[in-house]
Amino acid sequence: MIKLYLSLYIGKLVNLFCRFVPFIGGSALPGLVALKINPTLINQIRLRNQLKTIVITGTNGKTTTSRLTSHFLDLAHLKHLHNRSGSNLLRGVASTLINQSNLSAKLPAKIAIFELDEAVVPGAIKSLKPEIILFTNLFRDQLDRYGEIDTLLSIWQQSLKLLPSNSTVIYNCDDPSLNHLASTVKQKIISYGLPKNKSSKQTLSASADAIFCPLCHQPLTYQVIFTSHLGHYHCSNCHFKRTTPTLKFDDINTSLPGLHNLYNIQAAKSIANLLKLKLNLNQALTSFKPAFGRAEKFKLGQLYTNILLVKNPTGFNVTLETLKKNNQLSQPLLLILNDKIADGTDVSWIWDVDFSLLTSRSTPVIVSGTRYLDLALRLKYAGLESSLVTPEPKLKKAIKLLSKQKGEFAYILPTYTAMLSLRKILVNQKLIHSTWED
Amino acid sequence: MKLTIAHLYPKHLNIYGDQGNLDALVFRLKARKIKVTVKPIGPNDPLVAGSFDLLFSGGGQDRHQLMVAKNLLTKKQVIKKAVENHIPMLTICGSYQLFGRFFKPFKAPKINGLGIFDAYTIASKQRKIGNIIIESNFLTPQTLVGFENHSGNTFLNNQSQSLGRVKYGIGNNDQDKTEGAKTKHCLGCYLHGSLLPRNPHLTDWLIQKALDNIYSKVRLTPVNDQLELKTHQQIINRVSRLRHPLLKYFV
Repeated sequence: MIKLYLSLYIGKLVNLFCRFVPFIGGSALPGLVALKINPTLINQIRLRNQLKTIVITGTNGKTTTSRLTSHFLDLAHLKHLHNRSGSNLLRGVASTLINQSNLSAKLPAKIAIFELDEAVVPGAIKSLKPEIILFTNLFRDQLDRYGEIDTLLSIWQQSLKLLPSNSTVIYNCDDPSLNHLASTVKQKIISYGLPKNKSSKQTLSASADAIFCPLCHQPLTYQVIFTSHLGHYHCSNCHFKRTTPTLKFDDINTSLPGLHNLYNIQAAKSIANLLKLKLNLNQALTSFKPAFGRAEKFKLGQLYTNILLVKNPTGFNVTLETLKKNNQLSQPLLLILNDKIADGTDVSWIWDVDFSLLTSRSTPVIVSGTRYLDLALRLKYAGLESSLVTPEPKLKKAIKLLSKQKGEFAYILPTYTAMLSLRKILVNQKLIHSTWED
Repeated sequence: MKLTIAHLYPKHLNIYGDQGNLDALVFRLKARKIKVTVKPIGPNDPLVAGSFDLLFSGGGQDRHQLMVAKNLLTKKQVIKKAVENHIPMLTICGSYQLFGRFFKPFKAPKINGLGIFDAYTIASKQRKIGNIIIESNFLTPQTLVGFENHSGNTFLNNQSQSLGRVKYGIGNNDQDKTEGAKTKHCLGCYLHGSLLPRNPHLTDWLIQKALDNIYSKVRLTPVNDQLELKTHQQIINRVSRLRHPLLKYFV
């Protein structure tokens, strides 16, 4: 008990300290320190408040899915916690709990949404005992941190054995790995997926990774592919196949672009259904604001500019395809590649992105970031003439160059830490508001 | 002039941007107006002796590597013969390990390799991840830059030659500062990144050896390398700046 209060108060002090020293900007530090003092802090606060938790994890779409879910809960006037600021390790969970609880470790809500990193799942299941755990998908992402997809999948499989028996597992059944994962789960499962007519693709892209049957290791046969290895598939060698989604798909009008957002909406909807929220989905989506860097818009000179975060080949390919679908591939474009820890220090993934879509452009692509030359080189080998690539290591200058290009819209595609630097510059130039929390 | 590249197991071994290596070979061949055919060789495709002038194979997840290991042995004679005939080859990570004598996973029994390299690999718990710079003794410039990501430790037996000495990073294993292996014109290494686009001198070395075999002593026309070499140098600069283990959190 003493440990609980000690760690809580020290966490709160660190939090206070962080507010006065803005360049730390760390929403994770209070949690990090508190967990060092008391590793069971999360569990203790959860038990004390009988907190129901919803965990959302996977390679892509967890931020948008958890924001959508949070938005749905808001509309239903259900008070809840959410690790919004994007620190998605256990220390981020601890920070949220420290921040929100009062001095006797009581929380103002009975339910919490936690968006969590793929590697944190075992620890999260142990300390959060989630009522609902949702898996969005499993792609190649930051393999430099996790090693391999198979490793991650078997870690998930092991840790799901520790999930309480009354929990529910929600998953995207268009992903073969997740379909396989769910087949070993004893708890209640709910699945979602897209109908056939949403597909426009016939071939697997170079970065598709899970194209082999998880059971017999023969190549899977796809009837349709939505993006990367997501689609309708079966194994012609054994009995493995995509299960029919338990969630009914309904067509919705949304301003959120791309197939990936259709998945995010299905995911959030399945949580809302499970919680029996009364919801008008179309209305709820109209009032939804995406997270920073995820389809954020602002005006740069004459250009209506979009920031679209890119973290991995699949996400990057989906973004390029979405631009193509909307005839935006020739608009002013700035790509920013960083190789800091949070981006993944390995940049080889850009070689799995299909940049040949950009060869038809007439205005140069501006490339920036700590690895701007790698990007320039990648574009060269994708077939872009050197006159179509402008390398500019200084981000401020790159933004200025972009603002001078001719077009109606402009697109900035940064990796994670590049997006943070980009936002800082844009806030300083008063082009966007400082809205870290929201 | 024309040239055929065999790409071994493109569906199984294609991790960490390995495709970039083929892109680089094709790009630099086309820039010199040399006709190039890339032949994907899957487990069910025969590898015909004399049907290729250059061979490339990449890395894969452990599961995929195991899937092709047995199949590779059926192609052993053809590959061995090609190595003896000085056909240039580049094998990276997973395929590099399988071109050695054996690979010993954690709990599973030994997996036999081709034995092209007099080397063997033993799985370890420590994953070696990060930028890597090595110095070779047969290239100008001598440096090669890449990104390593492997858990296996590879050890070279006495007689075998490494691809280079590790200047930054870990390399074959955590003991002897060697990286990769070289038998005649067959190269193996752990360098992803992609390797060839950022090391144009290595790409040209492979092309040169392949063309020399077919046409005897070919003079490669130079192509504009400025961007490639600038990228190469930028990586070396960046890596040296990140040398201090704490710096990587700030720079």
